[in-house]
Amino acid sequence: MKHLVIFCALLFALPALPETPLPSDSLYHLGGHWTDQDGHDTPLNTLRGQPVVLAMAYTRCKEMCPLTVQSMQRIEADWFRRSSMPVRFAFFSFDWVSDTPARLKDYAVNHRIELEHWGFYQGREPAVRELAAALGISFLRDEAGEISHSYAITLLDADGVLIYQQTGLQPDGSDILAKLATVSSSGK
Amino acid sequence: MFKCLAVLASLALAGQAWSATRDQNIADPVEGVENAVLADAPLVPPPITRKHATKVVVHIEVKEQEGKLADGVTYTFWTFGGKVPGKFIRVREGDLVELHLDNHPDNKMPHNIDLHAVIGPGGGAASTLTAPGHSSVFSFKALNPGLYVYHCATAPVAMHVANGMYGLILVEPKEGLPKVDHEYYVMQGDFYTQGANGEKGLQPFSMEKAISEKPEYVVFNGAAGSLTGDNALTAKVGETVRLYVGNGGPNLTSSFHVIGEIFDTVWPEGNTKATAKNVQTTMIPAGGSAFMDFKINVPGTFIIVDHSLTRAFNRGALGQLKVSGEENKLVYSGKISDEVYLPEGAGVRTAGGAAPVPPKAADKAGRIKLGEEVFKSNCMACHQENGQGVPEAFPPLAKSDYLGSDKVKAIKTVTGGLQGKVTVNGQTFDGVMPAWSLSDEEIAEVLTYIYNNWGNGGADVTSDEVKAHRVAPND
Amino acid sequence: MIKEGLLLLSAAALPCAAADMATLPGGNYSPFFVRKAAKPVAVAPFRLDTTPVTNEEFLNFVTTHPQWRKSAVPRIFAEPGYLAHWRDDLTPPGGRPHQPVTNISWFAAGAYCAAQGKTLPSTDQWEYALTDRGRDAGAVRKQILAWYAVPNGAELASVDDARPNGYGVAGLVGLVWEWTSDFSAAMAGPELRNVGDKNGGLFCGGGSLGAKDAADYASFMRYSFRASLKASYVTANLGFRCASELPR
Repeated sequence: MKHLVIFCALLFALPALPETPLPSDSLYHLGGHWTDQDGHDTPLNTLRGQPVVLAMAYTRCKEMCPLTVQSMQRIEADWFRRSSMPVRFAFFSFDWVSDTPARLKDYAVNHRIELEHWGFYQGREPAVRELAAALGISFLRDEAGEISHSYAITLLDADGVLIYQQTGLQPDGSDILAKLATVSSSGK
Repeated sequence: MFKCLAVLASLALAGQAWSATRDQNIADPVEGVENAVLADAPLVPPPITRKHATKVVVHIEVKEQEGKLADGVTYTFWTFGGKVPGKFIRVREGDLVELHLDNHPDNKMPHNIDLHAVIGPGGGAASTLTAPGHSSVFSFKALNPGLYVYHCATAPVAMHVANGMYGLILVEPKEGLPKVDHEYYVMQGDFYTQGANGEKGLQPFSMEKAISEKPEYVVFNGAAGSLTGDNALTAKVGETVRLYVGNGGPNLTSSFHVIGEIFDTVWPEGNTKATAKNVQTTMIPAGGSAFMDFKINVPGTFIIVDHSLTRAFNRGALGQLKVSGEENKLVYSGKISDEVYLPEGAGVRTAGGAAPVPPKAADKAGRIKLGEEVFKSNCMACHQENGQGVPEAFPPLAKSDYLGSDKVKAIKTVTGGLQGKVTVNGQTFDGVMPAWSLSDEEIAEVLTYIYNNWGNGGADVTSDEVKAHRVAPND
Repeated sequence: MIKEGLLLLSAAALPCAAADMATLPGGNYSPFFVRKAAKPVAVAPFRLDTTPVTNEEFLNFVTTHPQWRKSAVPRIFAEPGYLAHWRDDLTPPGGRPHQPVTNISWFAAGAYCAAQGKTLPSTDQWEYALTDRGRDAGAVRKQILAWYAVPNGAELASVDDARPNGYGVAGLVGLVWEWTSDFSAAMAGPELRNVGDKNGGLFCGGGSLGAKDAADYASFMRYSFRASLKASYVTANLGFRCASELPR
């Protein structure tokens, strides 16, 4: 009985912050239980308030994920060179088994990523599936723990609505940068 | 040395020209936008007249529905646009095509589309996998001219294609195609049903027969009879006809032929550069096409077939082109006359070449004996074994009042032939007896045989007598 | 607070385990798309609803979970066609309580299962239930192909008409397509649209995948269908059932 309630509550967590109602197509309707690289409990909707550039990846991934992170770093560098408007960068891990907060923290350090703008998140399997599903990202975890997944860097507006998704490789992130420029930091 | 260089140079230039066309088409600026004019087989959208590349918006709706495969036989077709084959799409080199693939919400299956005119992953299939009630959009630039097949490529591909998911897209070359009076769209396909050919009712798809490549039906435009009778293609004498022919397969190659016509020009495999002239039967691979022009000179019904003949006559790969107009007897006379043709042994009507010389009989008995052989080889077919003849056809020789004892008359009849009315033993005959080019000796023998059988009086006829009274054949 | 209280109350009011469930013993099974190691996959014992979730059962759910009603559900969770065939929030098609509920998105299906203390079955679990240890494999394939051979009928059949297989699970095929928890794994694996191609290297890992039986058109179609879906999609012939772990 009790865990039924928890399940339901998790699925329909109410956003704590702004009074303006969440747009119907916002990702922040997702309940999802995530923990950041410092071990803090981070419901998805705490990202609300500024655009978010996010990707799903995992630390053991040697093929596309390093390119994904690099691309996001390029976007970060280019963006903050020209603008002071806040933008969050988020790395959500596919690997609910191995990518512990400590491991995620190490990864950030090894890749010289400043955590001022970044967050690295571990979630449990249901949260990972729901986020991937909402983003239209397909993935397959096999028995050996290897994860095949599709490639995407996603741009959410300040209310968590998906406004652009880069599904082809674009190292300089120019399309996302162009889209960011058209988004204001609140209420759009 | 110079010749070698020249060849290499021209090859390089030709290669250059080829890639220049693709590059040119990529660079070609796109002006304006229009909605594609699509057509259901056997019709074709009109030729393109504009001289620039444009954006063409194409909507194709996938619809799964039961339809007629043959008389009394239905099948659940998966269609592009409600019919098999799917709509004919007509664009021009360099055009930017924006394609919307709409999967009707009532459908059960996911579908996508691979157009052979597309340069890109899956020919578009990688970007168009669509669930029922949804639509996928992608665009491509038409880089190469040609007549291309499009088809659904959702796994299992063979099943989607076997259920009728194919059509043609024509990418006109920049300079267009020669003008003709009629353009028609024909697409061949093989169908695999659980029931045998002709078994009535709704027939499910047979996976086993598809994998074994043993179709029950091979048809044009999705059904046996789709191009026959009231559905036949039409043209008039003096007109030119072009057939855009595709082969959706999924498996069989077509040996495409129009009985009674020759393809003046074929663009083999749907290419637009090189033509073949005066082709009787052109091979169209599965997933391929060809188009051909021919002139109509005479009226009649011209049968369109896959010349793998049992497919045409037993499985439905048969259509018709009905042509009206004035006859041209010089080109084709039709039947001039109907004649009797009776080849029998050595005594053919106007024998060329020397017949072997039979042994000469010594006396009457000898003549009777040898005469029997001559009779059997030449006369028996009509006059019968016992000389009884055939009523109303061939007069009797038995107890014949015609022969009587008038050997001269008999000799003249055999050597000269006989036509017209003659009364023998009270019956009238009106036929043709050919003149026999037999030797004097042979005629003497056979007449002696006849006179000495069946109550004919027993006369003897010698070769001298035959020689003396022989006449030339009539007419 | 009030909202959570309501949920508590409604949870209490919920009929427990609305559908019957069958217990499937664990075992090895060969998935249709053979993975790298080409070894059979081990499926742990689990429980599975014996039939797809019906209109009646789903009505109970939206009655007590108003945020999943068709007028309230956020677009991120379900596209506009959600429950299109229901006249309104609480009115399924008349006289069809035992039809499988369709026009249901993955999120809605998952929420229903969660409300029962269950989950959507994984693709492996679902396919394992279908293989039924190979019992009547030929007849099942025939039934599937027969279902493919006819267009959608005007009416869905009732779940009561479905015959259970050896595990006691009924209506896996021939009624509706069914959601699984990892339906998108179908795309990440073999790249169905370009078999054998890694889509320009845009997939991490999972390279060498191929179909176990290229003649099994029935299974190909199921995987293609899953690959065409997004989580917020609904279709008129897509439903679901729930699975759970064995009670401890």
